[in-house]
Amino acid sequence: MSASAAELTIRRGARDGDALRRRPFEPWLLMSPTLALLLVFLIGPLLILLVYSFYRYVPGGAMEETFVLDNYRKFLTDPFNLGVLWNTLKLGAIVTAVDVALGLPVAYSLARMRNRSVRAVLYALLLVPLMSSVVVRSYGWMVLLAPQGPVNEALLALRIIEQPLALLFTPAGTAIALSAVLLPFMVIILTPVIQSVEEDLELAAQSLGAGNFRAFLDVVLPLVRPGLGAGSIVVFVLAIGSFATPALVGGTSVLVMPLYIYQQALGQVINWPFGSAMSFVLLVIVLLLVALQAKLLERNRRWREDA
Amino acid sequence: MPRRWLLPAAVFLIYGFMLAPVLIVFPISFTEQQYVVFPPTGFTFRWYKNFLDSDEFMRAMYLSLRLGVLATLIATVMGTAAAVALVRYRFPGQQALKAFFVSPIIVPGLVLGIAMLIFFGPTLLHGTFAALLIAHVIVILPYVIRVVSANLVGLDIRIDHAAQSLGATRLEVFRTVTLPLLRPGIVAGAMLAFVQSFDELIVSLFLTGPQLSTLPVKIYHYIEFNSDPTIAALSVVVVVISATVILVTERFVGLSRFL
Repeated sequence: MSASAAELTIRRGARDGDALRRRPFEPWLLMSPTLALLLVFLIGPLLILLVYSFYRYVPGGAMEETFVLDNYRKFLTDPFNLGVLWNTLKLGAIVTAVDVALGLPVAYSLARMRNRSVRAVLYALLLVPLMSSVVVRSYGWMVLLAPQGPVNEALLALRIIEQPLALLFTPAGTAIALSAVLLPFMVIILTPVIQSVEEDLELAAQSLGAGNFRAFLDVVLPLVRPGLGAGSIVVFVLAIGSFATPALVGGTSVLVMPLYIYQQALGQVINWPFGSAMSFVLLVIVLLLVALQAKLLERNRRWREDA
Repeated sequence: MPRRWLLPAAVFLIYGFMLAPVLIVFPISFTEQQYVVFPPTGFTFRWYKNFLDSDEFMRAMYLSLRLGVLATLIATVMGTAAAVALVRYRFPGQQALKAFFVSPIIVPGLVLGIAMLIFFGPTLLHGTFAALLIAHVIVILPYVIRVVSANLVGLDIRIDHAAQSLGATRLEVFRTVTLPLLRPGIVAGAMLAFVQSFDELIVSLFLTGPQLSTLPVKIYHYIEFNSDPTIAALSVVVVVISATVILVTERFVGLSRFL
């Protein structure tokens, strides 16, 4: 939705306000099912999870219902656990960097494409991987990256490598697969942002002697920075929270937070208090980043309104 | 000048990078080999027959479809009502509620999964279809709310006023004017929601069991221990279902204009 359309509705709504103010209960009536469902089955479980994160784990027995910070201390002081956090953030950073590098040319091309039907097809093709099950896409990457898979066969045939590369069940393979899985999000967020930068600005730069690439770098890129930041945060948040791709493509080679939490919840040694504490660490990181993203988008909106 | 085709070539390759994992399952699903080798050899429908003959996979498929349809119906009604409230009214706390309603997208699926496992654990809902249904409705609601809201924002409220000034009651206006104009958004939101439910893995992992398993969960557990092309055949079916829903929606109501 465009900001200006929203503004317009608000202004129209204000004129309409008298009629609506007489029925202040109506919006609440309309929202009540959603509100009730989320309060009971979203906030409720998260609150119980928070309570559990302060319980004490008793090996081999039931947990002790108390209020201790043991789980958080265990997570934030133990080098192994911090290593898991580091792995997770590192994977998120790599995937985000790759998706910025690959997302920009695609989004730019889509934004500047004149042929509408080609554009529509390319946009629809973007939706196909986005809407295909992440299990299927992870399985697809397992096939692609296998020792005898197409990637290795192609590289061998081209004589770029002599031995098949170990890609499946490695951190590198996980980063490759996850970058592909999350790339459509980056493109979908960036395209309208680049579209909002008038092409005249680029043409002006070019008429002053800048090449295409130079015009993009010096004119377009600075203007889309807030949008790029927002897209990066979305990809980063999805990357550090992703489970299926690291589990299937990474196997046991990459222990990231979601896999570690899963082990605590449903693995061999079940430790719900510790799993709960880690879930909250992950959730807090995500919420902080989302708040930052909202700020960036807000700034982007203001920039455009000032312009 | 070689520069002119540099960008299109890069875009082509990057599209390949995104689509390759989806496309690769098609040739693999027809291979005659027991395990996955490239290039695939021979041609057989054996792997399709394999899962069609499998009670477990067919039960999971049926459960996923039933769950997806039910969750979508519920989420579409609830989400449309919420979107109307968020866009067409002014009330205190509006911005906060708007953020709250789309928050299930933000919470990592895994965190939601473990929270619901602990929450439902001691209740009668533990391990039931109802718990799974509640979880799916929560996960897909934000998609309906977002898409329907985007549609509503684009509607001119003066059309409603015109109808009212001609004597229609507010309910009549909603039923005969607003709702028909909202149909593209509602259909697009519902289709998007269905696909999200049909493909959902993580939250479901925590709420399913041997007797109650969705298709993505079943596929996930199968891949963990097997590598025969049965999964490729199943993947083809899953991809075709999701892609058909999305592309048909895109063609007839234009999904991408609401995203």
